Amino acid sequence: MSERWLARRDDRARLLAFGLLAAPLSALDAPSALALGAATGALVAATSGLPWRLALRRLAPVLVLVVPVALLTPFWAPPGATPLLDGWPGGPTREGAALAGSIALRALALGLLAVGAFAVPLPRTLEAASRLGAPAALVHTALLTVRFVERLDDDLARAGRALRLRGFRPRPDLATSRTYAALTGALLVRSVARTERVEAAMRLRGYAGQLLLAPRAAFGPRDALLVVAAAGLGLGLLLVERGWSA
Amino acid sequence: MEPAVLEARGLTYAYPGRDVLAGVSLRIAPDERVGLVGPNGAGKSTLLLLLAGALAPVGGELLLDGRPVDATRLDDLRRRVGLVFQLADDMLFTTSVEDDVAFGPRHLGLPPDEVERRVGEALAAVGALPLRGRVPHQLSAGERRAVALAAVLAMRPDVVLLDEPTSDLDPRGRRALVALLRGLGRPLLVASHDLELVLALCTRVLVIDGGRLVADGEPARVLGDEPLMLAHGLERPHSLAPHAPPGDHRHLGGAPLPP
Repeated sequence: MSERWLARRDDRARLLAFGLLAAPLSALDAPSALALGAATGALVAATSGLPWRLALRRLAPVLVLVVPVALLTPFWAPPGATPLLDGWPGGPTREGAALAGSIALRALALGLLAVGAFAVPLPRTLEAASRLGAPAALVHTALLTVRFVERLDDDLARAGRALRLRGFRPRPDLATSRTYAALTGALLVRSVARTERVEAAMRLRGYAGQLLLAPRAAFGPRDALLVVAAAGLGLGLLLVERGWSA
Repeated sequence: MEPAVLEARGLTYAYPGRDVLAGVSLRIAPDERVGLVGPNGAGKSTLLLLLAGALAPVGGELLLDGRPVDATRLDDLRRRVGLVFQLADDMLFTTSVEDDVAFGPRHLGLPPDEVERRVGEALAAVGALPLRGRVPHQLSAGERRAVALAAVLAMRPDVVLLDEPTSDLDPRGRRALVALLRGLGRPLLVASHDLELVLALCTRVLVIDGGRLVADGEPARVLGDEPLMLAHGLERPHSLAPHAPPGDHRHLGGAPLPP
């Protein structure tokens, strides 16, 4: 599976493959199955065509959440828990360590899988979701949000700058709360006005409630192969899990 | 009289508690580039929105090729009258320039190869082909203006309406826009505070104030009428005013100016 091969697959196939792998991954408990799942996620991320620095940056939020959990959960002590280290009362337990490992591996596996599967720009994934039957209103809203969220961020930055230039310094008082409330209200009103203008612009160019998306390449045999491979891998992970349970 | 591509007869419009247009009548002939000038709140933008079919008039009627536009012809009006908004960013609502320009043709139900052709032609017409794969949010003001115009041209409108087209352009961008609009070969209606633009571009000018048209004529004559301009919150353009003789200024550093 070369980088080029995965990067050139139909977005619907990539989305389906993600679902077919993510569902079993989130149900795994066995360390061997979870390790295999994490390795699968790493393989997908590595072959997605995403530069490794960007992949790590995208994985960072997962790591930020997982690392504290992995450090603290070993100290969880259910009734009858076995201490991991002798002579350290209240120290880490085997059960806690197992749970921490399970959480960390599962999160890492899902994170790596998502990084690889969603390496393409978000609008392409949203369009693929639309073609797979996701509710149109949801997809349209998400697409417009992706487009205008940066604009909102610009508005917020400008408003913040204007406040600072007029001597505003946030303090823990009522005046600061009022200022933030007024700022939020102003941004909301501006957003509503912009929404109306955007809707008018869309209607003037033929929009009548249904967003027509750009045609993409047809779903080919190689795309089907990706979906089948993902289903096979997912099934394999479940079998490993079941073998461990037995 | 030359037949009008687009005609308004006695258009009226009101926002809640405020009358905006009070019986505006105008006609745009196929070879005209018409300027629309007036003070803030005069009704320029509202008039453009009515003419493009984005708003429904309270009274009066619109005629396209001499035939009244009713609800059944609204789509036809929107296809044939293209409006470039004052804030070009509001017109660029997808996540790539190409998709934005293709939006109109795609929603006209055109086949993909025709959509592709129109996108290429429209972007080429405004000199924005290199922007094809770019994200609209990352474009400069001038680039956004050009792409917004391309998005309208891709619909192949009979008339193009522009609302304050130079409001966010630097002098170079403004000059490029004037040259571009002159070469479009389509009738234009340009609402603007930029009276020099109107002088440079338009073959006729309308003055609107308080929701009524108060003057209609050749740009140099209308805009050069200082009492008229001052009476309606405008000024005579500098290029029509008598100037001080050249040479009474100093060049402050840098490379010497060419003779």
